[in-house]
Amino acid sequence: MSTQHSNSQTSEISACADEREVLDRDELLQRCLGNFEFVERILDRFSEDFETKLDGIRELSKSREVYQLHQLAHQMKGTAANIAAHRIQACLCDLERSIDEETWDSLDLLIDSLECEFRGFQKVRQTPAQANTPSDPSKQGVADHE
Amino acid sequence: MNEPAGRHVLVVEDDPISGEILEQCLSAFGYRVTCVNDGRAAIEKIRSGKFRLVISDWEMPELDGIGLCKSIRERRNGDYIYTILLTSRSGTSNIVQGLDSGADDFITKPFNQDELHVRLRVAERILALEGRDLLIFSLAKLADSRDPETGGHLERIRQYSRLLAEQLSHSDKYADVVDGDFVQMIYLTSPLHDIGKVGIPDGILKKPGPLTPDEFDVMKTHTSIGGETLDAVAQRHSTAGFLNMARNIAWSHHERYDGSGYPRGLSGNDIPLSARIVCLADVYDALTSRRVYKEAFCHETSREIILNGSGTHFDPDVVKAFLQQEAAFVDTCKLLQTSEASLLSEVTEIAEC
Ligand SMILES: [Fe+2]
Repeated sequence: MSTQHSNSQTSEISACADEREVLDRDELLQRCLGNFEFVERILDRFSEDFETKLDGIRELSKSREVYQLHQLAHQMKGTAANIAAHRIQACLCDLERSIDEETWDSLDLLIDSLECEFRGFQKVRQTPAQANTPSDPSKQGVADHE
Repeated sequence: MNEPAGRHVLVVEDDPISGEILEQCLSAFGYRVTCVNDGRAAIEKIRSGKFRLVISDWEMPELDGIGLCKSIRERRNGDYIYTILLTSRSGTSNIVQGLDSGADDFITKPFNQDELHVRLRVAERILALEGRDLLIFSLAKLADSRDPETGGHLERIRQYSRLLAEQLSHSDKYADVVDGDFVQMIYLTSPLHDIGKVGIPDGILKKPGPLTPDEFDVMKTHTSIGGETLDAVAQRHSTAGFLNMARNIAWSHHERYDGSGYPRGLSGNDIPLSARIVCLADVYDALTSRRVYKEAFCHETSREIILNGSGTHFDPDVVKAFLQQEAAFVDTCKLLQTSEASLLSEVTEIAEC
């Protein structure tokens, strides 16, 4: 096996690892018990909602509404964790801390980097998803809404 | 609709996407799911009486998960509701705060699907156990309700039986046989000892005066009626160990240690231990309770009678355990007969108004 080959393999692996930090599709797919369609629908919904929520964060930050800001950031953090968007989750974690400590200068910077992370997320999101095989196909199911 | 307790889950989550992921997962596990987005809406849903299992986010606007757990525990009516808090918080103080508010379990956020499944099964098992306990006591009550003079008897029997079993669990001789499960099981099943009385005609069961020998023979059959009935059920559900103990107690609680009892004339260790325990508990309660044909004996007299029966009527080891638990017997007797008496006088007062 040539050195060149193994170098390219290494960079592929690290690219994959980076992408997984942005969005870990395998983790999300497992959480959704291998339901591929559901995962795509949830990711669409997350993308649609995120921008509106980000605007909300900016507005509330301008008016220094600490309680509402905290609630919104906390909720977004929970969503990001659930869909395995780890970098966005980490950024929201810093943001939440900054809100609690009322460090407004760093808050503006964090909001900008959150937007940046979201753009990165969208990029990864748009790369064609690898056909992950569910670990247990029998567990696939669609939520039975009441 | 009849579905097992805990199969309809109430999810309380203010974030719609997280709620939907959880709902999808629960549905795939076979649960019916209803989602609401805050604690207040959850309380409204819980009032419907449809939910026995609640999974709630911790941090929510308005009423949070802690507030919701507290409200659930403050309810005075309805079935037990098992609550699981979803939390990204860790650390002892948070766990203490959660448990203190009445939460039964925690699931960390973001949840892991396998952990969620296992914890839900635990919840269902606990809810099913509660249902089983209630069913057993209801059955026993049904039999007891035909015997108007023995109100409170079942509660006292289970307490006395537990005291005796607990005492025996401390002795080397019984430590291998009588463990925590045994103690819990005898507490659960001892109220079924007279379940066979459902098969005794009213004319005999409710006869105020002494029974003729023929009538007494009929009365004695309550042991085999109860034993055979529970045996049939136990054979169909061989994994339900409590049914075996219930059968042994129903069948053998009138056997005597020297073999002079009924229905089979068993003696010594051929009489199941659970039945030897309930036998003493039953006699002590009969002695210390008032009947149409007799006043209640005081503890000292009852104690004397039991001591005289050691080795003939009763297993000497059980008598020894009784002596070691004497103070607790007196307390239990006082406590449960007082509460019964005050309830009776309350009912009489209401009736007289
Ligand atoms: Fe009996």
